Amino acid sequence: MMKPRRPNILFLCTDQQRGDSLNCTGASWAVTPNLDKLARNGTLFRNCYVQNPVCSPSRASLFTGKYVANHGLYANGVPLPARQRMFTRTLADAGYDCGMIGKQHLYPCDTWHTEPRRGDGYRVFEWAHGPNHRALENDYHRWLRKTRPEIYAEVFPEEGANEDTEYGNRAKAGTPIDQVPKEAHYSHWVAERAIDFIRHPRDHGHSFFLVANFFDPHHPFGAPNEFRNRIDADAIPAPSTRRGELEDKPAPQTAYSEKSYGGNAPGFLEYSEEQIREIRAQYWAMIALVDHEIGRILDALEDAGLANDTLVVFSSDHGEMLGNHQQLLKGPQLYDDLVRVPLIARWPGQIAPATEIDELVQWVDLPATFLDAAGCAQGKGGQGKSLLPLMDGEHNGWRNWALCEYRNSGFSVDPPIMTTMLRFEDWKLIVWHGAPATLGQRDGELYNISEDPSELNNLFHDPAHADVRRWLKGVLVDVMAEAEDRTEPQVRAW
Amino acid sequence: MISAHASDQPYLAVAGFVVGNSMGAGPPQNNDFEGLNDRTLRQADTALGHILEHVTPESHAEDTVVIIAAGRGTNTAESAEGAMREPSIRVPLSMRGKGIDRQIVEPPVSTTDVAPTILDLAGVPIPQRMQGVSLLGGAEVARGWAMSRLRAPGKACPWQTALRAGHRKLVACHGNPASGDPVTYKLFDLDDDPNELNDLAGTPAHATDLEEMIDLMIDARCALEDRTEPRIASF
Repeated sequence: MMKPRRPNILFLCTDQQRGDSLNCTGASWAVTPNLDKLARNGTLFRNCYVQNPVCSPSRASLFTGKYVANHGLYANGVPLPARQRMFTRTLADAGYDCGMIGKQHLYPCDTWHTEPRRGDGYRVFEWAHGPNHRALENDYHRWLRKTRPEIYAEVFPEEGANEDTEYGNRAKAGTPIDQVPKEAHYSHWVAERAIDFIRHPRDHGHSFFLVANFFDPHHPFGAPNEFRNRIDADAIPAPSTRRGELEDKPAPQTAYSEKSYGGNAPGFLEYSEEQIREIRAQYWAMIALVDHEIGRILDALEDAGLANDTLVVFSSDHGEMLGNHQQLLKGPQLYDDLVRVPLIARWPGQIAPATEIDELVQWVDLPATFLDAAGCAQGKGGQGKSLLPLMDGEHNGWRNWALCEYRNSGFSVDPPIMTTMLRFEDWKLIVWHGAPATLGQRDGELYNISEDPSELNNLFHDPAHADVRRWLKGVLVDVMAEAEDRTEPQVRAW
Repeated sequence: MISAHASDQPYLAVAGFVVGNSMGAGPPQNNDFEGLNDRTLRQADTALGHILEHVTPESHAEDTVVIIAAGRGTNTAESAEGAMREPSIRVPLSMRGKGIDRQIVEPPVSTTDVAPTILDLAGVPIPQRMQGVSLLGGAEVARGWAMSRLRAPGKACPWQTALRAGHRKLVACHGNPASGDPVTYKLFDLDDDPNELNDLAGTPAHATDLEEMIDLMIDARCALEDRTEPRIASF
């Protein structure tokens, strides 16, 4: 493909959005006209995997282009080491006008911590860790206080306001801030600020990079009524599971069915069937809202005359169990529910419209793609590959595996849980590590994704699949070696 | 340096000997490992004896710990085949001096354990970043397994990972998932077969042993990842 002048790059990133949650990815009940249109005008990736199933480690893989074992931020609550370079810094150094709106989570935000800036290269950094996060620097709260002071005062009164850092996690349903009218909503704030950034006057030839980090559809499961009313709960199927399913799964999944987040949030078993049904409806209401706000951003891009010069990418940092396999939220489970995310790319004239790509691609490929589009070298240690050649039809030699590593990454449990997923050909192998990695029980999962896409039948202990299991363990041994950190260049032969 | 050291300030001295492959600059080699009659080895041993003569009461011998270790063994054939054999990756490690019991530690330990041991001897806290363990506790603290990795970019010699656990040793000769070239294994029982002549990896009778060692290698790899960044909050 001929490379045009450096494009603007608009990265629309949601939080906790499943790969199959869009109308164009199989959810016929989803109200996602804008994202479906984006896919029609660009490339839809059917098999994009994140490198970790929880926020902070996954986002660290995005910003560094490295696997979780290598960037150092192996769990929520661990800061991204200062030695790691963010790709946004590279873009800024190349002359890009860079901005970040919303949640970033490369630093612990527990106890209302403000996320400190690092060498990120952003001119604009309008940050909030979450809608209920009470950091003084929460830019959404500042905006809400200014634009809708009465709503702010009602939801966050001077006295009696929620001060519980785990408030959102413990809520079984939407909290008040999740259900405020659309014009006051945090997803609206992200879109408003993104539109403002896009409209910012720039000299000719000065390109921008913007990451709009939405909080939706992260739990608590609540959305404004206007969007809940657009969802037909009857059209949403019941959670995918089967009787006795967890008896064939690694034992910790039973505990995660009883309590989510390693005992720190309500579990699937604490909800009635009707409540689970409502959670699922609210989840797609949140997605409908985010789709609506993304539509406004894309319209603004069009109105500014920038659509043809902008690479737009939409994705999400991980998925949501949503009751499937009798589990909720996220954790050490490496089902497609959690690790396969939506990925759409649109770049008029550069990316063929209405194309779909089935190859396994990974989140570490996104920074490589952004840098490639910008004409920048990937830099030291980046482990992803640019998706541009793949989107241009060069399928030969594309990486045929995907790796996801969970290292006690969510709420810490004792003994720590460590799991590793390998996707390879039609198969998925998940290792539940034992000693010496952790004192937990060594176990595993094996799924034939083409025959059992819902991952209901664990073949790991099936004697008839022992050869497949051993073969895939061998592939994993190779993939783990290939994914090692070889950031340092070999400057001499010895 | 040792004999000149008269003050009460403790010292750390590192003496690096070239014993095996000397990158072309050392004495002529005659690497007969079985007989240990190699000229360079004798030369190093003589030099070591000379150093130890200077560890005298005047230079605080009673407070001195001497550690003998090696960076690697010798791949006598300089071949991919020999890269992970015991002579290549099993090295001498001995310690004598204050605080060191007379004993033989049989379970596998690693050269990554040397630095934490030295810090422990010096009474210096072992940094969280270090992945080895202090060996001052002897066999009881030894990890019991050891991993060695060969990654030679641009060379014909393929990547290899070796895992020693108890009397078993697994060598994975890495393949390439992209080309369909699979990993190949070698499995040895070092008690029965110390010279690694009898590869058990292909024998059906050892299929379970082999898979157990592969599981251990996968778990050991996970254990050896760098998770030294402090976790300062729950999210």
